[in-house]
Amino acid sequence: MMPKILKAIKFETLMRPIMPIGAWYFRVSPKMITCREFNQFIFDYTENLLTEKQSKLFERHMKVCPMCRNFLKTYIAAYKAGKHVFPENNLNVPDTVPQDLLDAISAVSSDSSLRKR
Amino acid sequence: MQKADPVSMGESDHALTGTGGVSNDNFVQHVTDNYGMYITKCYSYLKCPKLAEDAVQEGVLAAHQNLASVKDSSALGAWLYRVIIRKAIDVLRQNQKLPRFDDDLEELVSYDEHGLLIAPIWTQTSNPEEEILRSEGLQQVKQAIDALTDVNRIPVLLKDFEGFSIKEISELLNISESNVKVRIHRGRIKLRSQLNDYFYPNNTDDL
Repeated sequence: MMPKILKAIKFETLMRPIMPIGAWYFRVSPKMITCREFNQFIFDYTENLLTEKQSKLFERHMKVCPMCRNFLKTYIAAYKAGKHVFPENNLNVPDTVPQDLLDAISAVSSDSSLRKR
Repeated sequence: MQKADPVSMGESDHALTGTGGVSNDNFVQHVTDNYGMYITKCYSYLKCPKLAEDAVQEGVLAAHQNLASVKDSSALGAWLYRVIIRKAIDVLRQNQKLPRFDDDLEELVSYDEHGLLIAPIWTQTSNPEEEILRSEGLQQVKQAIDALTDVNRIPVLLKDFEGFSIKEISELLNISESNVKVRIHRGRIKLRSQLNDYFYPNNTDDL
């Protein structure tokens, strides 16, 4: 049986001495971000711009959220694949250097060498 | 003595000082070999063959004027390419074709009321990049890039395909660095959602 005196003391009163420890724990303990917040970190993650703390939060979310893990994987795959795409020259423009451009270059070159002399 | 940055300099910043470490013949040879590639690359920004041709020609002439700043001939290709891409952006601006990079608040990704992502748990493949790189996949990527609006396409092309830094893009497009990041991120998300079929099995949602 609990003594009457203890019953009279409220739970919060009992906890008060150790509350600063709890507050400290919550400050240093890992937090969890939502998927929406995770999305806001993605760009900085791909460019290595996250701070150490942000990086920990980001990776912690990634560990527990398969949807975001896949989202990130496909996000990276999509823009990296773009690097392999090379535009085809199906424009109606000749891909040889026009003579007037070559003439302009050589005119500037000869002008420049004359100036040097 | 102040050191010249060959990539970030403007064409009017340098005097005509000769040809430095790169010979004139080397320059002409380089332009001749890659002229077609420059045109197609510029076309991906300008979407007009005539403007693309103008941008390449102006870029080549501007680069030739500043050839003295290239000390190492092995760096010529990358330097020349970037000068030409910069010129393409200049031509876009001159023709008032550069889009307005205003705030865009449209939500591109779906979340539930708790801020949790609504997406399938499983992907089609463990290596989505490899999956896309199959021949038809590449065609789809090309179409997906073309389908992006200029507001997202131009920053994504500059960052992910040409390798410009955020700072350089911010100066080129005259917008803040944070705006550049947002544009690229949104462009990448749109690109990803266009390629959904390669990632998720029997996907019917626009995720």
